[in-house]
Amino acid sequence: MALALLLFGGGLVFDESRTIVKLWPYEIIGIFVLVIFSFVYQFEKKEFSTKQLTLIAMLSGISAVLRIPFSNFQGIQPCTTLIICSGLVYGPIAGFFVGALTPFVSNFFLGHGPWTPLQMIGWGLPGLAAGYLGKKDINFKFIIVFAVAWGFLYGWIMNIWHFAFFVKPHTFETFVRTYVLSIGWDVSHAFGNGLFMAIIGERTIKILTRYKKRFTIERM
Amino acid sequence: MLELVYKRKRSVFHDASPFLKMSWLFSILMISIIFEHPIILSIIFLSSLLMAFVSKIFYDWARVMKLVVFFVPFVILFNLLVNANGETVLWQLPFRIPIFGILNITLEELAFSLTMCIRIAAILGAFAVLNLTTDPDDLLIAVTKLRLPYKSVVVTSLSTKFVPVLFSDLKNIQEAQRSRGVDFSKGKLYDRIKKYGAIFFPLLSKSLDRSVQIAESMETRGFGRYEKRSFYKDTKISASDILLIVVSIAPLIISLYMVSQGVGVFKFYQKIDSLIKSSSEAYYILAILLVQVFLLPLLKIKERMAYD
Repeated sequence: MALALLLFGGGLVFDESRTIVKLWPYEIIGIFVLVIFSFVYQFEKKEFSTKQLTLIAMLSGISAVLRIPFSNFQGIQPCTTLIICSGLVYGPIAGFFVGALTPFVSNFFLGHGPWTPLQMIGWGLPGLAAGYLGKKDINFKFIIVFAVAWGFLYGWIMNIWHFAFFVKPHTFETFVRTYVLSIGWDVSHAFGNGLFMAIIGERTIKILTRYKKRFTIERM
Repeated sequence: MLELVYKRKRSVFHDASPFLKMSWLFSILMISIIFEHPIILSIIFLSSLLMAFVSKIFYDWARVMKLVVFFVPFVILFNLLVNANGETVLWQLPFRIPIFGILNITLEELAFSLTMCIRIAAILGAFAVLNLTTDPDDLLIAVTKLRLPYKSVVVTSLSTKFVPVLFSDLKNIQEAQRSRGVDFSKGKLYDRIKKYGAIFFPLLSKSLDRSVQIAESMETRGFGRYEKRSFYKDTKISASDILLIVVSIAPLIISLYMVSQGVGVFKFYQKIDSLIKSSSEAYYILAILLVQVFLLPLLKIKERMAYD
């Protein structure tokens, strides 16, 4: 995990002359693919029952399906809500997988591309973080703030791709300009996330918790 | 809505081994990421266009390409706002904007954004060809054969399979709620999302029930019993496939050699380069074009051998 985060940070190295060293598109993609594989390795090491496996598959399937009719409204999507809820209930690794599979599966229908690994990370990390949050006792209002924050973070992760591919002189100034220009999109995504989380979040957590209780055995 | 769905058809590229499709896509993807040279990117785009033509999916493919046309003004506008580079200034805004500084339109910026559009067209086109000609299941079997972790591949293929089922479920629930008087097309955003819950919660509980059933049926078939997985449908590589894979990878090898020789670098700023700088560069580009085009007659020959 530490290695993954190190690689993640290694993508953005600034020079003294305020130009970014070697921010090549394929290096970016490679780093993100490596991060995903490190999580896949964690997933393989952990013991999962068949029911948990199909549950993860089904949740990511639902979240992918919900993404497709909303693909026209930029950002206002219910996916993040479902991902965060499943992370809260089923733990970090399951949450990451539900999140990472959402773009991977829905892009079979909406179009794959070099942006897929970044989307996978951008939606996987909220699931992972929610998994760690779920171990503590937290207020629901905090979860709404969390969803809003991930709306922005998702946009910033996707900006790395946009910056590496479409903007030529990779200097600090163009970097800042790219991020300033994306604010409109990020705000609409974050707003959608918060709204969906506020309206349907609580009941989703209730349903998922009920299913978790139904199929876990506790030895007294 | 679901435009990029695989449809069963008979053509060379549909029937080709998933390994060939993957190697073809990989080589196109890598070349289009390595180079920023407009001619090479056009050749790569041409390759996926010809492939779409050969595999008889041209109309579906052209619909995907329309997206790129919508993309063009966006990329150009973005580059004009972000960059202030280039020597040949065509037009300049008379005043300064706080963060962005001087706003100007230069020939170099225009050329760069158009080239990026060709690049994105090449990548999208290749992915569209793969999406339209390949069953996701075949692809995932091939991935398992490459000794990739098998639990995550199972999860991925399961959720890919669920998508059409869940989609029809979604429509059924929507119609059921509509007949009970829920109007999905009215109200403010807040009300709409609230109504949307009327589809979301039934779908969630129904599909969670289904996931339990599927887990049980998988367990009765012995899922997870053995370390090594057995297959119902086998994908084998024949000698002709290996030849085709080598041909599809060849352009990538040529372009990697070009990079190591320092040929084929195209600079946009501060002054745009001429399209072809030396004769050796022209020869390399010609070689890439020839190898890309050479794949098609080979596929045709294979089609003749298989069907006649």
